[in-house]
Amino acid sequence: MKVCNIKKLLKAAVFVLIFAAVMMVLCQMFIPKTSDSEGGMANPNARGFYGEPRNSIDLVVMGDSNAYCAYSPMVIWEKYGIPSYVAAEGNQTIVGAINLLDEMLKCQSPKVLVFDVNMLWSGDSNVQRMEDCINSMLGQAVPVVKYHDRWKNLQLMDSFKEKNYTFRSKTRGQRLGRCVKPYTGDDPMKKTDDTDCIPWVTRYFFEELLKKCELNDIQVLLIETPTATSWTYARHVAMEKYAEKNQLKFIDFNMMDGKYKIDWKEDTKDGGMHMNVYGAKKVTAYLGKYIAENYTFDNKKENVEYSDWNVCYKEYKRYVRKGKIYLPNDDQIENGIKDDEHE
Amino acid sequence: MSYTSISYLVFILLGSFIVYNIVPLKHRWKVLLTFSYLFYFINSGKYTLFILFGSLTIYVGGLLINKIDDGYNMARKALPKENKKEYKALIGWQKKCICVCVVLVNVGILVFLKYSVFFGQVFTDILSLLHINIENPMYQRMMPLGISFYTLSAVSYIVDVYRGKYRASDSFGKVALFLAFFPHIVEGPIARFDLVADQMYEGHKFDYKNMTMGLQLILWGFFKKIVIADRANMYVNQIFNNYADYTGLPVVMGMLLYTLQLYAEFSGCMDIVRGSAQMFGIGLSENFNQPFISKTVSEFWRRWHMTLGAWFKDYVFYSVSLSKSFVKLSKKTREHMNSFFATFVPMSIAMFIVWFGTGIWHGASWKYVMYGLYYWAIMIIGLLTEPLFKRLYGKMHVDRQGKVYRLLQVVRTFLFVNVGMLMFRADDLAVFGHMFVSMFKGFSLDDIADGTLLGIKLDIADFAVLAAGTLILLIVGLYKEKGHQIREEIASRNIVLRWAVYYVLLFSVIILGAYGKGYEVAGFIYAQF
Repeated sequence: MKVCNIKKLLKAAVFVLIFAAVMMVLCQMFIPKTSDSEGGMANPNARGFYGEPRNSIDLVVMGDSNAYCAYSPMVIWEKYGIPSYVAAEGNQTIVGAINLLDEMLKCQSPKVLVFDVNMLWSGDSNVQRMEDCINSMLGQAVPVVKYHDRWKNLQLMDSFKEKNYTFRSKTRGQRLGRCVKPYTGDDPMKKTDDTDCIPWVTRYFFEELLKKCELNDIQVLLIETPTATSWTYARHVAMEKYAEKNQLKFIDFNMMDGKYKIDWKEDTKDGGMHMNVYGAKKVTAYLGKYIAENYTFDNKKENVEYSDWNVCYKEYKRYVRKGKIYLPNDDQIENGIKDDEHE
Repeated sequence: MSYTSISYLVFILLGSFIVYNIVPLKHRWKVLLTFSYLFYFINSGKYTLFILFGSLTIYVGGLLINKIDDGYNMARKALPKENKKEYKALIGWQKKCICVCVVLVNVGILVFLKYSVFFGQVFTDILSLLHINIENPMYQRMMPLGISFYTLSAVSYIVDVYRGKYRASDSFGKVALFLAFFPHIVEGPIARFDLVADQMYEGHKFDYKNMTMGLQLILWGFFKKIVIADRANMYVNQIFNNYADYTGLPVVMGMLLYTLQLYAEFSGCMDIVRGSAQMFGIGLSENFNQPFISKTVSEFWRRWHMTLGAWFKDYVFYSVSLSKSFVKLSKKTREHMNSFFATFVPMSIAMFIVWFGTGIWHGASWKYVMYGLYYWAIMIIGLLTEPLFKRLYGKMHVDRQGKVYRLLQVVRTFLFVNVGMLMFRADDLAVFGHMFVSMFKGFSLDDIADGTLLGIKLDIADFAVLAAGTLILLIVGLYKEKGHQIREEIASRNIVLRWAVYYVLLFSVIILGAYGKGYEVAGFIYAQF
């Protein structure tokens, strides 16, 4: 190789090294120093587990917005004394879920992961899914990419402080909503001959997640929380086949009957996409029963280290008792009747 | 797969660059072809067949024209003199038939996929005037990626071969690569075979300068797109999607920011695609040349989307104005009108066709038709009033070469262009009318002070970034206009200054970029055409 070519390659290498060094400094600067929204933390409600006492969470629920609306840690706490947390984010990607589990495993050691499979079908195409996954990986590996927008509030003195993640979510990750906006479409789970399968991109990363759980002695329970707009019968069949083949447990709440059947006129807050707090109670009642029958957990209700869970439950109960807010049509939403949402 | 996505940068650009530089020189074009079709297939799936079919038609059409030419050249010497003219006319007619057929097939596919709903609606509207009410029989179909762009390139190829500008290529791979080359397939620049095909086809050795200069241009494109255009997009979307809620200054700002967004985004995309091509040693045509310092709208269109303007000039304007019927018309106007109108009338008709075509090329709706005709009307009015203003300025002793006059011309053109942009972005002509009027209602500079303006999607920090970005674009534009080769000048500076510029750009994109949570990811606007 010519000397000038070696020189050029060396120059390029030095350029990249300087870039990497500056990026490392920037990552340190931009990463949130507190785990609340004021500190710039992304989805602080999903990351409230940082603020919980170390290894105090026994069960974790992961998924997208469907999961954080449909699962009530407080309901399961009251009935079974199981401390659980919903680590779910809106438009979650499967790689985002893996990242979040990694974050959680730094400070918690859950025994069971309840995983909402809805995100396995997120994205319009495999290319889109691949891009979403790459972006999630990049955001995790290079925090400045994820938190770059913090430049607006960044203070130089705070940039190099130690992390102090103490924020706790009173609902343990659930997003509460009392509104009722009925779903008026056709039966979302009408049986058809359509076929579907888990897209290969998300399936690949999902299996990585399963391996990670196995490695950390976490049992996995797959669920599909009720949704009238983002789930189909074909997906249900595909998921059931996959679960059977891989000896995984799978509960599809869209197929429930009897007292656990979702009432699409009363249990949804936004026309079928997400559960309101009353729908979530129904989902959690069944899930709690299933978990209590199939897994072994200590009832920690009387444990003094968990006394604040009882306080949070009372607050949750007060909120639920306020009653439903009916939203018959979009005009009323525009006229100021809005959901009284809580996190 | 957007040009700003990681998957494009890593799997397509970097992947093809590495493979390109590994394989022997003579096979390198195959790497470009493979990656171009891979890129196309990832984005369009089964619709790849359309571009493949388009390539095949122009390839076969070109070869047939070659064959006719070769036959004529061989037979010419043996032909008696009196038959030569007749034979030439015959082969001219044969060549024309082939050319017209190929053009009709390619343009027909574009019209069918892109315009069938629009024309169906026009048809049903006409019938409804006759009290015949039927539903529009056409429905919106999926469109293959870049069809509006590659169809124009395909037409230019076959017409150039027909006109004898160059011989058709006997390599299908070369023709296929010319149409599908991954950097220019989505938004252009609209390629000409004689300018790019050989560059694509011949293998280029690895060139450090080409690589670094290409990366430099890509980085500049990212800055324009992610820092400026995507940030402006948030404000623009809010105003245009909720136009009924805003009047006065916020609407004016929406119009100005849309102009900024479109320029930063489209020219930024061109920088990314030209930079991508440069890494392989391929020079694509410029599409922008400081459009906002234009003194007239016709000058603006010579500086904005230049390859589209040049295409319409070469393949529509000349084809129309040199056609037999037009020559006849010109002759008649010369006989019956004074010298001004004898030129003006045929020219305005030819321009009408060009601007109607330019407008409707952008999209299948009356809004785009009117967008094209808006510029036609300004140009026609300009031509008609030119003698009047000339006399007026003469009497008023206005110095038409003076700086103040030229500055006023630039401002006037800028205003015309912005109104055009308002029409371009508004949902339809009614919305455009509403927004145009609402700009003058309740206009108050107090909107800046009382926070009304700053509360619309963007905060003061975002506006500061937009202002700084606009200033940088302006300075770079003016510097280039003075004849400076700014990229070469930066590359020739000492390493500290040079790297400082690159790092500032790089970290600006990473930190100030409008991407990720809280921002609306915007696709490239022209990619939808």
